[in-house]
Amino acid sequence: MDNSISFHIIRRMDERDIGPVSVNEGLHFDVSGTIEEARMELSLRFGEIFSGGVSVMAHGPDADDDSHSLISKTILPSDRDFFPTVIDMIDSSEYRVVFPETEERKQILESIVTLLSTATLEEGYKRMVMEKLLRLLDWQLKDILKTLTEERDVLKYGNKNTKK
Amino acid sequence: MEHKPENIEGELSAKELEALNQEKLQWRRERIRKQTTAKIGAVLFSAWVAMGAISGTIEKGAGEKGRSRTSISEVLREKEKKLPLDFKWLTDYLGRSKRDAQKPEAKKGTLTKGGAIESRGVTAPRKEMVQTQEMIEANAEMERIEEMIRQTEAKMHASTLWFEYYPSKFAYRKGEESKQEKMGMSGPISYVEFVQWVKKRPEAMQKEQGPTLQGFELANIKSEEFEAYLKAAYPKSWLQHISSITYTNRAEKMGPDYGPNLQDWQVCGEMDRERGSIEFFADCKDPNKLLKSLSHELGHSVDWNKNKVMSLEERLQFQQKVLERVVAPDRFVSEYVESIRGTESPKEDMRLRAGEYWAVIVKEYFAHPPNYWNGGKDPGRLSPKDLELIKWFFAKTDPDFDVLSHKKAHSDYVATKLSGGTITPPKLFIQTNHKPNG
Repeated sequence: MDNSISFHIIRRMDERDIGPVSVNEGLHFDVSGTIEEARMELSLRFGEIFSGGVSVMAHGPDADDDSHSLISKTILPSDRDFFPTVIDMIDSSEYRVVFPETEERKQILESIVTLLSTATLEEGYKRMVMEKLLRLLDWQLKDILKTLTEERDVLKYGNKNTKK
Repeated sequence: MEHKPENIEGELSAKELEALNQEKLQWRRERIRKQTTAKIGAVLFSAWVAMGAISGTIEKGAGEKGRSRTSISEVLREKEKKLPLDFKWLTDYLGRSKRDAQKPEAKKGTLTKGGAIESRGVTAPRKEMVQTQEMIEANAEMERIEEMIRQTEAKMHASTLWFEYYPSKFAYRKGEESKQEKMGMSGPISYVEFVQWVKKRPEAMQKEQGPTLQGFELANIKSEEFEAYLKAAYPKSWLQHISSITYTNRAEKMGPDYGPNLQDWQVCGEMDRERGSIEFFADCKDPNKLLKSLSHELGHSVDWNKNKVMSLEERLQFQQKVLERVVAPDRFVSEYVESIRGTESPKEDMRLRAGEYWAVIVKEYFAHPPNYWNGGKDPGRLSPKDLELIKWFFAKTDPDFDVLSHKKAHSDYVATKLSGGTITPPKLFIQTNHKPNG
C-alpha cells in the first residue's frame, strides 16, 4: 500500500482549485503546493478534521446482541480503508477532493461510466457512484470496474461457474 | 393438498412457460443487481462495512445481498435536487458528450439470450418477506426523522448528527440483509429495531467523579472550592459530559474560523466536545468573567452534537429547534453570534451560529433568569420562545433542576470564596417558577 496520497483540493464555496495536497500515513499534510492565501486555512481545517484521528462510527450490537448502540472504529494507517476514510473526512467538509488525471485513470473512469449506463444498479445508486467517482482511489476504481465487468459478463454469458 | 409434478414445465403451455421464464429472468437479474450493489457498496463504504464485520452484525464484505436504495443514495438524491450533479460534470471532465455517456453500450436485450440458460437449474425465487404493520409504521417514522434531517441540512453545513444517523442506518441495513440472506428470505427490510435505537436514550452514565481541574490557582481560584461550586450550581448530567477544565495563562485569539468579524477577538474559553474538555485563557483571568463563561462552555458540552442523555431523535429535534431560533425575529441578539458571518459558506455560518446561539442563551439564562433580579420584577432578556426551548431541554435532561439552586450556589460562592465576604448576595428570591416543567 502507498504510504501517501496526493490530490487536489477544490473549495466547495467557489469551486476554486486551491492546489495539490498530499497526506501520508502519519496524517502529515503537505499543503505547500496550494495557493498561499489558503494555506493557513487549510492547515487549521485539516488539524480540526483529524484532531481525533481517523475513525468511523457505525451501528453495532450491544453485548446481548439484541439491542444496538453506536460504536466507533479507529482506522490504522496499515488498514486498507485508511486513505478512503481520510478522503471521506476531507470531502465531508468544505472541500472537494480530486485526484490527478492520468491516462490510466481516465480510461478506467470512461469504462466505468460506460458500464454503469447498462448496469442493473438502481438509478439512485448509479448517481451515488457517479458522484463519488472522482474522489475514489485508483484501487477503488479498479474494484468497481472489475465488479461492473463481471456483472456485464454474467448478464451476457450466464453464471461463471456454468460457463464452458 | 394440491400435488404439483416435479417437471412442472412439461405441464405448461408455451405461453405459461414463457411467463415462467420471464419471471425467472427477473429474479436472476434482481439477484445480480443485488450482488453488484453489495460489491460496489463494499468499495464505497468499506470502512463502515469492516466495522460491522468486527461487531458481528454484518457478514463479510458488504453482505452477500444488498438493496441498492441505500440511505446514502437517498441523501445524495436530495442533495442533487439542490446541486444538480447528473452526468454532466463527469462527462465534461472526461471530454465526452452527455449523450455519448448515456448511450447504452449494448441493449439490455442481451438478457433474453440468457433466457435459455435460465430455463432450467435457476435459483428458486426467494421467499418474500411480508411487510407488517409494525414495519410500515417504522418506515413512516424513519421518513419523518429523515425529513427532519433534510430540513436541517438545507439550512446548515453538515451536522455531526447526519454522520451518526446515515452510517448507522447503512450498517444496520447490511446486518438485516445478511440475516435475511441466511434465512433465504427476500423483500423489505424491517427498520423497527433501528427506529427504536434512534429513539432510545443512552444508558445512564455511571460517572461519579467530576471533571479534573488544572491551573485554576493561576486565576486565584481554589480547585476544591471550585469543584464544590460546580456540583452545587449545575445540573447533574452536565458535569458528566466534562472530563477536564483547565486554566491556561496565555492569550488566545479567535482566528479565522468564525469569520473576519471575530478573528481578532480574544478567546475566553473553549470547549472540545471530542475530549469533553474546557480550557480557559488569560482573557478569563477575572474569576467573575470565568464563571459567566463557564455556563457558556458547559452549554456547548450538552448541545445536540454530543449530548449523552438524549436520544438521537431528541438531539435532532434539539438542533432543529435552535436553528429556528437563530433566525427568528425575536431571537436573543448578542454581538458575538450576530458577528459570525463570512466563513467559508452561509451554511457554515449557520452551523456555527446555531452552536453559539445555544451557548449564549444558556449563559444568559443562568446569569439573568426571568423574574429573578430587581426583586423579581425583571423579566429577563430572553424571549418566551427561548425560555420554552430551555425548559424543553431541561425536561429531557434534568427535569429536577431548578435555576434558583444555581443562583444560590453562585451567590454563595462569589460572596464567600471569591470576594472574601464583601459581596452581599441578593436577598430577594421571589420567583419560584423556574422549574423546567413548571
